[in-house]
Amino acid sequence: MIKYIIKRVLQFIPVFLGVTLILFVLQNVVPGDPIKLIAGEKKLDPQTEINLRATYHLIETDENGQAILDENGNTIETPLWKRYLQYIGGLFHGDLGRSYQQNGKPVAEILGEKYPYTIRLAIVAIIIESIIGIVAGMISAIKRYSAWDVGVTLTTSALVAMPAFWFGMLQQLFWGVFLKNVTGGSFYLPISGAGGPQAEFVDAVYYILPALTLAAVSTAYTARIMRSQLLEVLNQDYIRTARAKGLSRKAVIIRHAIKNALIPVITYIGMDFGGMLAGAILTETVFNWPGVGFETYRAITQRDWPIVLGSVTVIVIVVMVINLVVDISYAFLDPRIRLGSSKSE
Amino acid sequence: MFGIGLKKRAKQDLRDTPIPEGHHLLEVNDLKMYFHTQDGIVKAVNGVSYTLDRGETLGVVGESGSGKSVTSLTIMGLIDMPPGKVEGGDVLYRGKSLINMTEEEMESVRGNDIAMIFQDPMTSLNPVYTIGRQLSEGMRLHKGMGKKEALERSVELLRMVGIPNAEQRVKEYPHEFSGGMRQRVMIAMALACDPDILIADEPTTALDVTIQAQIIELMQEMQQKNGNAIIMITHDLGVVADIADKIMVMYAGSPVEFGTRDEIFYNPIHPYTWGLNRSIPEPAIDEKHPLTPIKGNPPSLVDLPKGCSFAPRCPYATDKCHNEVPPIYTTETGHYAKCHYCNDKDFVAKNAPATSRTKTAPIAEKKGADA
Ligand SMILES: Nc1ncnc2c1ncn2[C@@H]1O[C@H](COP(=O)(O)OP(=O)(O)O)[C@@H](O)[C@H]1O
Ligand code: SF4
Ligand SMILES: [Mg+2]
Repeated sequence: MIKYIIKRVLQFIPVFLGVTLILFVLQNVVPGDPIKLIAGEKKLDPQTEINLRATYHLIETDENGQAILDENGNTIETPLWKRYLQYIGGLFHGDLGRSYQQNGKPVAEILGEKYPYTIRLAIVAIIIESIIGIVAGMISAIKRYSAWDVGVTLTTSALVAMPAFWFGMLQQLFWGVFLKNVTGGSFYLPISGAGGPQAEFVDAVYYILPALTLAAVSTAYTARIMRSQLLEVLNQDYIRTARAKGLSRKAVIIRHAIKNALIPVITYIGMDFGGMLAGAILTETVFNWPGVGFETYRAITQRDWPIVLGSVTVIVIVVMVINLVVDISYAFLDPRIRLGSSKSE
Repeated sequence: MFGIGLKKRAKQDLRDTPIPEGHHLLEVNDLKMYFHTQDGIVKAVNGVSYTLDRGETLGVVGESGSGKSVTSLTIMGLIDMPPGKVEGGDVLYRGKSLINMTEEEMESVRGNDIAMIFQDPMTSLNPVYTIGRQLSEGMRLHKGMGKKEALERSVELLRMVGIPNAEQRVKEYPHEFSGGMRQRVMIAMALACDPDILIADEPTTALDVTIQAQIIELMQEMQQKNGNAIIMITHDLGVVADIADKIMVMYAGSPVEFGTRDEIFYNPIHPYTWGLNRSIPEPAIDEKHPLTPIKGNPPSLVDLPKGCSFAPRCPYATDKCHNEVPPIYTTETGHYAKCHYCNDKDFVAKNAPATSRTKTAPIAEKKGADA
């Protein structure tokens, strides 16, 4: 098992380098001098510009952070590959570079402020997804072709087909605008922000609509996977063996079918956590949720590339770690994999 | 979670009730199980009858699709209804109808009074639970054993079916066992509650030839020890040659011939049984009587032929065969067959395969040895 984990971690390295390299190169080939993005329309005096270039590691500097000049007195541009290596090196100290805006605030600091909001939202969404998805799919499979099953199938199809931001907007319209009007303002849900000391509602209420929106598509997939997995498992020979032992239908489902059916569902939900961090960009934008997604959206519109790069780098790392955790739990659930992997080492 | 669904049933085990006067351990009377599907009514079991007593072995032989599995699953109450429906007949176990039992009553019969093992040992065990847990389950359910007691008994059972290092192996998972070993586990599981009847649905079909013999031998050995009856289902007449007391030959959902082992092997009277007899691979007769599989395919069970269901493939079929359903002809020994001509001595003498008459001597010898 330990060997398996080490092997998986080693497999991360090329993937990680590949993804960050692509993003890094993209950031640097988009037209426009970074200094123009940093300074905007302002005219800079030459020394300030040199200092700025030094701060953003665009030119070679000495150990005091002073620009190194060549024999003609010009600054020396740091080549792209070297900047990439510096970027990767920085990652090991939690350095993700600096924002082009916000007074050059470190990206790590900005993300550190935003991530708790995103992660909390994703956790609430995952809980919604797991509970509603698994239960709905399970009932669908057990009561196959019932009105419930048909209803679940129709609902999941609609949710999967609907763009998440549109679904979010519909929610806002219904819960925030329509209900407010109909009830004369006595009952409605907040549609913007994440609460706070001065907010109208307690913080928890602010999670409802964004979490539902973020969870919608995933919940639909979870329900579908659970349904089809359980149906498939219930058709297996070992289910018939269990019935032949005298177990009741209910006992067979609880004791023999659920664990087998859950293995792929748990894998999906685990992997989906990474997807939610990415999906948060749309949801957080629609609901003005002060998380990384909204910040990334802002950064994209204002061409604040270091934040985009930093946020994606973190997502890549998080997704890879989650994959590893899911793989390990998968092996824990399925003895065939557990032993297979240790034997094959 | 592990105790859920294992409540001890208070009811007395049926196998402790005496068999009423005039009844057998198991009686199947004109059983009919049809499936109502979109393509029509599949007459999977269409009038099966036999009786079985303790210590006896019944061989059920027929091509794939002839309704062997559905017959036994109907006895076990494991056919989903719908699409299945019992269209007639009954199954009496110790004089009590299994067909009319409630689901709950059936649950205490299954795995307890009547146990079943299946064709494919590779897929018949749950891959995510240990052998010990799967073995224990039935005993915890039917005997009200605790976890520890059931596990100890599981070790004993594994030892009994010839699995070495049983203490260790109860903790292992199915994928760590070979096919033959898994079928031994299945047998141990089926025998865990000391059933009256063991139904084995092609238990050796998925196994190597050498392992096949071992598994059959094991089942016989267990039968001698426990006195249970066995229903041995197979598509290969050769498999039941040594172990069956009675044999039922099935074709297209119905029994076409039923008799003692000797009657079926050495005095068969139905053309389909002749065909099966000829298709047993037997090295000694290979040269003179090459393997003759029966040509053609069984009829659709949705749309059975008007007359004899074997007529389209029968080399002796006449107009009468094609138009009239043959009656059941029964001899004084209870040997019966469903053919228009099976009571015609000349017809049988002329057409029955040679093996059926020349090999009577060794069988008699064997019988003497048994007694
Ligand atoms: N659930 C079902 N629905 C419809 N037809 C079925 C079902 N189960 C079995 N059958 C049909 O019943 C027939 C007998 O099947 P089976 O008893 O499994 O044959 P055997 O065991 O002799 O090979 C087959 O034609 C099969 O297609
Ligand atoms: S009834 Fe006719 S077709 Fe059917 S088995 Fe007998 S001889 Fe053959
Ligand atoms: Mg079968």
